[in-house]
Amino acid sequence: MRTTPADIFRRSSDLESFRRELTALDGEFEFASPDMIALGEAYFERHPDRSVGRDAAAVLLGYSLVRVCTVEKVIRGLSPAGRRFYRAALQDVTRVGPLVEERRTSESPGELRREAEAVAAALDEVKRTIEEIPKGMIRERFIGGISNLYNILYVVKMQLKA
Amino acid sequence: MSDKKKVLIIDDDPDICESVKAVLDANGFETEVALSGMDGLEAFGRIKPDAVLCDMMMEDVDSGIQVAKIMRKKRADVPIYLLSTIGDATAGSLDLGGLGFNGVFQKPVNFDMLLASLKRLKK
Repeated sequence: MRTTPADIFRRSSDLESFRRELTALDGEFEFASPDMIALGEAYFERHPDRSVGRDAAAVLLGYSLVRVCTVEKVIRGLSPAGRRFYRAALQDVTRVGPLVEERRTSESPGELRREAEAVAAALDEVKRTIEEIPKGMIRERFIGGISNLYNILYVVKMQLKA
Repeated sequence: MSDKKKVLIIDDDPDICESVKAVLDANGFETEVALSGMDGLEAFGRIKPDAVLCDMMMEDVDSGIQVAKIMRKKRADVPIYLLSTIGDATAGSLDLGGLGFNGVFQKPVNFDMLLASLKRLKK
């Protein structure tokens, strides 16, 4: 059966239950632009946006939903250790340094660089899909969501060069 | 007194603030983050930054513009850059200078370009 993030969001009571159910799919869910739009519509049904006095927590939830889905897609081709690393690192930039040091004990620099390039290429692919979404607040949440993943990946690459 | 250039990052997404701060700190800048336009204005007066990176949509959809206008009145010389998700085409149709901004960096931020711009600034 076709599983979409929108379906999971509609039956999830909060971000953590969404994260649990989506992560359990190991990247095997639909995430083409219509699926992104459907997730955005489900999210805005529950958390309508407004131009003045915006609900900061709802805005951040939107970014988090996008990040959870995107991370699961961009780590799909990695080894189990690589998936664990990127799931943790892309969630919290302050953990990147210690996590990179830990992985250096078991992986070669070349393998870590290849892994980072694979994640970067997969992230670019997700971004290209997001750019198919018409301009508006759904697209804003997706761009805002993936932006932090690009930032953290930049930090990962800096650490790998250090 | 520190010789590092001070950059104020204003964005209501704490994750974005922390990740931009991580990149700038690692590249020799001193950074301060603010999670709202109001906090940004307070920090602007307190730390007297050499440059400001300001998100557009925070408390209100045009908070970045309101904040930039106030900062520009206080200090005409400080470079203020918009961090935005609005896209190049939309940004190109805005009078960024008239709104108080020196330029725009689209999200996801191209850090090579951002760092090059910030490194060119005078202390």
